[in-house]
Amino acid sequence: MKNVIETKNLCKTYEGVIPIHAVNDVDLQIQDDEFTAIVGPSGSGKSTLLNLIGGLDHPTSGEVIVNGHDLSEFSESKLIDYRLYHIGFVFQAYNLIPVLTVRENIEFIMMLQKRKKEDIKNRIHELLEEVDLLDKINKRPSELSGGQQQRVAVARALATKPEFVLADEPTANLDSKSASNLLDTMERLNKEESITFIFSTHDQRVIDRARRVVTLEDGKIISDVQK
Amino acid sequence: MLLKLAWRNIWRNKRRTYITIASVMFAVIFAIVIKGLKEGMYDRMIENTVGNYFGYIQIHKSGYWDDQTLDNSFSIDQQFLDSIQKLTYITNALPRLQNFALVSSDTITKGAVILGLDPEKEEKFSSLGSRIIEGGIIENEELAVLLGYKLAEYLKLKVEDTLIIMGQGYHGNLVAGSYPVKGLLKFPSPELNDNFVILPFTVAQDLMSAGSRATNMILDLEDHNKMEKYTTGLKAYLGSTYEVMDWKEMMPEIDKMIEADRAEGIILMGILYLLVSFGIFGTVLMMLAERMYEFGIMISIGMRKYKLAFIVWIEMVIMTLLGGIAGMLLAYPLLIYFNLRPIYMGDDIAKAIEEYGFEPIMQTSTDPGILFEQGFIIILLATIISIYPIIKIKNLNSVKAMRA
Repeated sequence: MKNVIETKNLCKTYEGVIPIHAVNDVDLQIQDDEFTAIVGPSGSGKSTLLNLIGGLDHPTSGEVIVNGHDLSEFSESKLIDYRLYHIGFVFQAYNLIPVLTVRENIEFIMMLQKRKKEDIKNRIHELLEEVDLLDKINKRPSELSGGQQQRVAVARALATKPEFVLADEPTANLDSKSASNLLDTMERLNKEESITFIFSTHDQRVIDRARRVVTLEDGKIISDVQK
Repeated sequence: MLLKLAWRNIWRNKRRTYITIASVMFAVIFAIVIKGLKEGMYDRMIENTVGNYFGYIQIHKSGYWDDQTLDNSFSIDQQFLDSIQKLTYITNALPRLQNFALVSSDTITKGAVILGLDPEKEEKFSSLGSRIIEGGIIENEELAVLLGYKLAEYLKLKVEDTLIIMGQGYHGNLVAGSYPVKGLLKFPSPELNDNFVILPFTVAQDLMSAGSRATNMILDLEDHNKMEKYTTGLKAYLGSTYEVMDWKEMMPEIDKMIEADRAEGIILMGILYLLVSFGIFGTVLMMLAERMYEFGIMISIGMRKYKLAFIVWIEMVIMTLLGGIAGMLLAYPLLIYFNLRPIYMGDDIAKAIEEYGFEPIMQTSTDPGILFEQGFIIILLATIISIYPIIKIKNLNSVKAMRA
């Protein structure tokens, strides 16, 4: 097992009248094939930590090292490539482009990677079979349930064959059945396809399924439990 | 995919899109019709003064234009005519003899322009015969005159009455002659109607003791748009003995007036498009506010900002072009209609316009260039309006956008 992601003394402070230390001196190592939940109350810094790992935000100090590369050394353009080729993102809600169909939403991200048409077509079928939504291929997001939309978002996140998936509160707007289906899909992909999943969540359903739970409070790691 | 995305984004809010397209469409119709009327007015003005009288290019003896006397006339022979007519871009060369003289009826005298011309050639150039409103056309070497109808009214002369001409001929000779009025002319230009007496070229030469001389050689051109190029070529071809002038040099006041009026038109169009721009800009602001979260997602998953900006620009261009094309399709038939059926101004307005020396007719130009010009303006407008969302996208922070 090797470290895919490593943070060293990672800090993110939002300046203001009272500075807010959203992430405060976090050291974290994430290894291949992990299914990790970063948990904590609202404002504990979960999403900020995920954004820093995803290269969406810049740390105030410290390092984010992905596969041995320090993200702070990346230019804006290289960060975009990093996100496009190495990470899959699943956000809390409204993940999909509403004017595109399920097929087009997945096709879109592969088109950004300039993949071949035949490759794109095969991958879309493969992914929609994985998330069990092949019958919805030509539907628009507005015609799908919240759970189905999140499964499409997972399919899109995996379309680029990323090294890991960052999921920010993926079940927050889902009912129990939809959340359970989504987690089943993610768990299966983690085990069968060896894809690393990192969640930020305060949803107990996710925490229960995670094999590692990292708890944040006021931007600091207060516990790190392997199950 | 990017174009597909842009196209579908446009139709997210159909009502808003229709309103935006309609506002562009009506602005374009208005702009094209106004521009068509103005260009039509300029075309008529040029045609009436240049096409019907001055010609696009004139040849004179050097110095004639500043001192328009018969002493500055030049001898004209077949060899000279041949040397001009062999130039392929000249379709017609018309010699004229022009002088000022007193013209009289029994009791009334007035200063007038005496113009000797070749009736057959003038017929081809300016359809002189079609200007006759009473009587008939003169023939070469016929001892008769044609009068502008306003001049005839002033002198109280009718067809077959006699007109007396007295003046100074070539080398200061006192000259006089009496001629029957063969016809009355009505030109679009009021100045010609008020002041002109026309007689055959050879008759005018005899009257003015001018031998084989002419004061002007009018040139009709194969392509009027190349007038300036031809003028330069002719100047070099004829040398310094002659002066070659195009109508813009001879009548700079008309050229300047058209330029000034065009500038005024540009200001009017500018105001119109500015108003439309604010409407479109409102759409852009709403669109940006609605899609900020989505933009954040797209950038987060790896879309480059310039591609996103391109989509927004394409959306603006498509929307304005749809309005623009609809406007062009609706406006062009209007241009054709008012070209075939010009608007004749009412009596009082017509008199006022005539006093300024213009024809009281509003006729549109059907030059397709007017449409292309508006098409270009629309794309420019869309591009300018797109600057704001493009800047917003360039400075977009995806994390903040997704929190918005």
